[in-house]
Amino acid sequence: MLAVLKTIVGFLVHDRASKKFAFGVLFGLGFSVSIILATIGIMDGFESTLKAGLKRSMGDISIHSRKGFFKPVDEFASIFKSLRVTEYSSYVKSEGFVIHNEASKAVQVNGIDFKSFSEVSGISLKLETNSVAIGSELAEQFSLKVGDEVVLALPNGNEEFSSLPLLTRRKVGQIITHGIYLKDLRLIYIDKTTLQASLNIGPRVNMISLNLPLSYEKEAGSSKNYTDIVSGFKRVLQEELDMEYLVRPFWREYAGLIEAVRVEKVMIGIILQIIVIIAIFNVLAFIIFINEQRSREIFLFKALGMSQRNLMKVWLMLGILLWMLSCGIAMSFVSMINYALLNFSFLKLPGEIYTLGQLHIELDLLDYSIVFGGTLVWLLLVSGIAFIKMKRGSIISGLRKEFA
Amino acid sequence: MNLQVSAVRKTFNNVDALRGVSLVLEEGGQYAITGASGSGKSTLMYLMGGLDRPSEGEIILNGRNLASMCDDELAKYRNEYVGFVFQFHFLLPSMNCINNILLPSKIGGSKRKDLKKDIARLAEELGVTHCLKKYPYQLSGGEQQRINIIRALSLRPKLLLCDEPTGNLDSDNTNKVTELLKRLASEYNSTLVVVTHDHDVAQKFENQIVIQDGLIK
Repeated sequence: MLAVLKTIVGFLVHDRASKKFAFGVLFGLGFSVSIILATIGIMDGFESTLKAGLKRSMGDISIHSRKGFFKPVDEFASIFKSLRVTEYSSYVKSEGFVIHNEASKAVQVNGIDFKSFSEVSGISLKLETNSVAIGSELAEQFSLKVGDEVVLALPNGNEEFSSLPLLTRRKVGQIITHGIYLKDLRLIYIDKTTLQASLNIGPRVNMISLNLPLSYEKEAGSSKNYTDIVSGFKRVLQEELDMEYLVRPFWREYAGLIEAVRVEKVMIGIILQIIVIIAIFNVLAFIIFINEQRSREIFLFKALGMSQRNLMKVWLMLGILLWMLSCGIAMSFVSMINYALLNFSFLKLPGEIYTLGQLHIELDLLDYSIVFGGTLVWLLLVSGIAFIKMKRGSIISGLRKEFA
Repeated sequence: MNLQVSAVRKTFNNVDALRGVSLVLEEGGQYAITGASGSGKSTLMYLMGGLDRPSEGEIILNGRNLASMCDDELAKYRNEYVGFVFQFHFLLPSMNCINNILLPSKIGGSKRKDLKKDIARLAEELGVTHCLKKYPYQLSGGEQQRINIIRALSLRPKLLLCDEPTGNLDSDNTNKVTELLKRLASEYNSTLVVVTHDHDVAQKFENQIVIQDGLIK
């Protein structure tokens, strides 16, 4: 049966006009589908890039104290050991200014332990005690390169905010990229003990960040699963710790934005169905065109024993064939759009507005299934209704008219 | 396979093409239906071939009424039981002759292994072997009609219905085609019905049915 249908479909679309029309319909539908895929993919890519950037700046989970500064006491070490956490690092986070060439920028100063911070964040930091690591956006704005000197204005014994800022000259030891515009602009890193001394807080810190044990990452498989696992681990850790401490997942800082992007993805996906419907009307026009152009053959097929049901199967097969090819074309378009996003500078985003400077398309099987499946449903619905409405003339009068 | 036509009426736009026709076609019988133009002879043939449904009456085949069959059943009947030879041979110009001949088998999904052998034998017998790979427009009227006959016979139909099969042929070809149809129908034990307004063609059949104003005379 399949071979017969294949022959007949091939026969229906064999002349130049039909082929050209089919080509146009295919590209129209393929392009429409690719627009939806690309839009959804960009939003998924935005979320995953943002999360990757956030994870890169602080690990999977952070612990804060409701009271501000706290001592990273042995209690933490034993809890981490019981939960098999091996990568953790304590920070001192404070505010400050970077001053260079008579310009200044407010920054978040992170006092870190280079070794443990590198393990947790994945950012390899190798700094001398008197140097500072700055973000790539700040370096660009101040035209700084490694080896240049900047002045840091740090808080000085500021538990009561009573002292004047401490001005200290530092060499730029490293320029790093988190992948998030604001973090690349606002985060700087210096040695933890220097900042502790400046703040006069002794060995106390105001944040600990940690990564989940490696086995969790392997277990997760996909980024979505990983988010769920981090949430679960966060609850476990919160239960283990005193109520004084707050445990936060790495995406919490941008949770509102991430949720907004998700909602927008669904809404835009629904709105963009309109362009698929418009493209499907082209498919409908194509089917009507073929039906009119090949009415001679259709009447003869019927006379020789083709049933209405089989004829419908032929149209169905033609529709599904168009759909399959369109899906293939859409995937090619999506790859091209992704390549353009990653490689053409004019497609880069203004990071100060969109948080990320660059986007990429990220699609999973579910995204493809929903978009392709939705397109197929529309196609079958519209062409099915059209087929039912098509007039079914008498075979004899049809044959006489067409072959006259 | 007897085909029984009982009190069949067919009306087109309030005009009666057939006004209560009854007849029985016996298995293997050969019939000529004659009558003036517009008498209803072709309409009767198309009704027997399942290309149309009667307005009233019954056409019984193997105990089943064609008039009450659904579209799919009628389509299957046309494909499996009936071979049509049309006056305007209805060969598709975009297909070569062998593909035109194979159309009914492809539509019906026939898996007969000896089909192509059978077609080749028929083509040889009808002298159109050289035409099989040609397109209809490359053939003469006689050759096209013989291709049409091979297509009609390709699935060895129980009922071979021919609508003015010699209408476009000269007298020499008319005789040849008529004899050929009779011989092949006998060979396949098919019931042959030839609709013609040619008196000489009708004379070649023992059973002649004359239709006048929608009634059998």
